[in-house]
Amino acid sequence: MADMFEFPKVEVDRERVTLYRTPFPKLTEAKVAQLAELHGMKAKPQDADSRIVFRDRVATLELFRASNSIRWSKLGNGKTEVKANGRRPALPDDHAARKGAAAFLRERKVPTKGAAVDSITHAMFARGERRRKTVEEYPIAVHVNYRYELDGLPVLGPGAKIQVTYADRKGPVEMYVFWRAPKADGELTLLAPRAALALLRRDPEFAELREGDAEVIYRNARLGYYALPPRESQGALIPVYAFDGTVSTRALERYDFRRYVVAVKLTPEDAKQVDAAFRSAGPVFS
Amino acid sequence: MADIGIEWVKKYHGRAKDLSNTQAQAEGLYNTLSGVRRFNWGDDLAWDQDFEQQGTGSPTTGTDNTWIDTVDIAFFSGHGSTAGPLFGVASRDDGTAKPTELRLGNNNLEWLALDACEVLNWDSGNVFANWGWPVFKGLHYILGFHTTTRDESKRGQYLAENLNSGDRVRDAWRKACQETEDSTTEYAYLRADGNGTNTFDDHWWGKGFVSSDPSSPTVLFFLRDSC
Repeated sequence: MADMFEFPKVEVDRERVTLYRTPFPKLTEAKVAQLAELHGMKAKPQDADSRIVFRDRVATLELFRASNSIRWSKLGNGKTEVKANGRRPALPDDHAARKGAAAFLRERKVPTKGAAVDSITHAMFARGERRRKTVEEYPIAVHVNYRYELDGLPVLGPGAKIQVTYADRKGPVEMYVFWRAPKADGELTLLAPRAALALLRRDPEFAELREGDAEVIYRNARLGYYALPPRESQGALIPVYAFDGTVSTRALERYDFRRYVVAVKLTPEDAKQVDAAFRSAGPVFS
Repeated sequence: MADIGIEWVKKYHGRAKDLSNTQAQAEGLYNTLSGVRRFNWGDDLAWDQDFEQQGTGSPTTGTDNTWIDTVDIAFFSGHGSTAGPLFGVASRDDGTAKPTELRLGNNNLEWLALDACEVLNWDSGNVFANWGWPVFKGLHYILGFHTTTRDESKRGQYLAENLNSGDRVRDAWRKACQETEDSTTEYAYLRADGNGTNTFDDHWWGKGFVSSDPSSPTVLFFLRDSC
């Protein structure tokens, strides 16, 4: 089976990584009221299981109980994807969006330590009519996307990012901040890259693929931390090797994927001391 | 009460890499969304013909009027491509629910979520010809992805929680995708409207406005966006 795989060279600049604990946040009534005021919400809070939600005529604010995450949005009050007259929106250029996003985050007192702009992207829209043969796609919103770093390592996964969105030049229409405030608490010994590769070779997700019928190419690998979605409780960030790869079979010519390998070796008892998230992730996960 | 059906594939028998989280993802929706749970078919019991119209395409073995088109929302979790959702067995039809074989909403279905890579890839506008006009026969939305997406376990549950809490269908999908993907992933949707319909404002049944069916759509809307 070994020949079916192709791996990149994995290089790391350290033998140990910092353990970052991310304690369950205390979302007190006073804190909730403070955040509502900061985001201009007049409505009463609603209990929505893992979230506290404010909805009024202008915007929606969601506070995530299990992480220090918020989402503020005016998009839920729109009447259609574009303005009623069908005109294309006048969007800020990348530079203006980037500058505006930074100012908006300051205004809303969002802590951005460790975060930096990673990309500027656009929401693309198209309207098709039966009689019209060609359909043109055009941007209707621009996003400024931030990612986080800790100790020179990227924090990967859906639970560590910021996005500020513009649908015109008047100001942001949406902002989310998915993050858990980390506290350094000692160090953990890093799993050697060759041990991570050995785990990937035994990855059961590839057990039924056969050499000659399938090819698995891992293109690159990097060390980082993994953050779960903002609705999930996570007591510590998980050190991971992130492997990006492509698998080809006859039925599916190209499938690009990422597999994470937990980059520290812990017994189940150790993992319980650190956080259950380590155990539930398993040694290799997506 | 509205009806819910799910299909998911973890085991691909060498047709593609196996997946780990599709069952948890689909059942997250099934067990969380308010409604009647009608069917839950996984692995070798999930078939492309369950999505296809009888007598359409080749082979012509479609049974959507027994399965997918009998419920209000259907959720598929597995591999996919611009050719359609990919199934683990090819013996029941050909193993891919090709859009050319789908005619949806002429019985019941309002919303189809395809949690699979690139099923709604823009493809230089071909998404309208592939998935749009032939497929929408009363269907309101197809929710899916323009890009590759992760094999993850929570999106179905979050989509259901958002719908239960009164979000519009389009907002519920956007928010569930934001919370489960990197911003490099692009979710997408196709929605249809016809005379007197307004699917933009669709909510889950019992949670707000639901448009009448666009049985003969005059306009289709496509959106793709960073998570």
